[in-house]
Amino acid sequence: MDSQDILGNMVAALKGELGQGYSTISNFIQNQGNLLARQAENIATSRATGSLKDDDELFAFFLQGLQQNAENAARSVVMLSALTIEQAWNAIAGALWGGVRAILTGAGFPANRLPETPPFNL
Amino acid sequence: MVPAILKRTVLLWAFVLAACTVQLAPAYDPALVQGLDQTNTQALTLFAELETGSPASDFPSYAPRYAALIGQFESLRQQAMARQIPPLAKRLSGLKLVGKLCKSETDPAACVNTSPASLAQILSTFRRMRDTHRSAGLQPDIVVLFRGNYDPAIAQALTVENALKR
Repeated sequence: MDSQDILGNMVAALKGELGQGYSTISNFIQNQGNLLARQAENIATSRATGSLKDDDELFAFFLQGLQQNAENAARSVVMLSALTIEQAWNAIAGALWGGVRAILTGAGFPANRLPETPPFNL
Repeated sequence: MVPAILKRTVLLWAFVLAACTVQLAPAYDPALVQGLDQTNTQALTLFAELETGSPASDFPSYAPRYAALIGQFESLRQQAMARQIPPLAKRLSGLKLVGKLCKSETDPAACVNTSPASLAQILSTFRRMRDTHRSAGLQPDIVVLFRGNYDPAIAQALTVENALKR
């Protein structure tokens, strides 16, 4: 194992994690966008011609719900992004640790004194 | 030529980096995901039954269904709130970049444990729907609006909780 092998392993692991993370976040944003847009349209229609026409209190409740759902969606995107960063970091650390371990054991360091995965979790 | 001390520093940092994994979100909770799936099915069944509307006189036959849903979602919210948040995750949500959105001053876990807020939104939806059903009955377009309030919130909780399986 040399530095090129370690780099290759890191890039491959990173590609997999970032691809998966991007796909989850992108689908989530699209889905939430559709749901929130449809709800906004339904509120407007009901307010104009439906049951919300004479119900100010319920109209305000649905508007507030729309705002709260939009804020919660944005926070969920932050959380999904943090999760992607975590997985990307851990993929890099895993590949690096694998390389370090291979080099050290190749140089005669006892393999049983080196854990198979990175030993510290922050 | 790279000085030896720089080489040693780079190697040391590479070793430190390699030795540390991070955790920026809570652990996956299969019981919570299963609970969300089951309660979601019950909620969607209630919406399906009510989609053509329901007069206030029918409310007594639906009251236990509302109580069951509210109780189950409240229990799931408490379960999600009670879990341990990794300290590094809390520090991350305190970053200026996301501080305003994440309300990190009042709730340091708002962006790293989002399901309690999504479930609170669901609870508010069902409580309001129950009260409206009891006092005035539910018109079909109002049922559509309650469903429209519910769908994004349950999708948030399900997506985030399933993403924690890593």
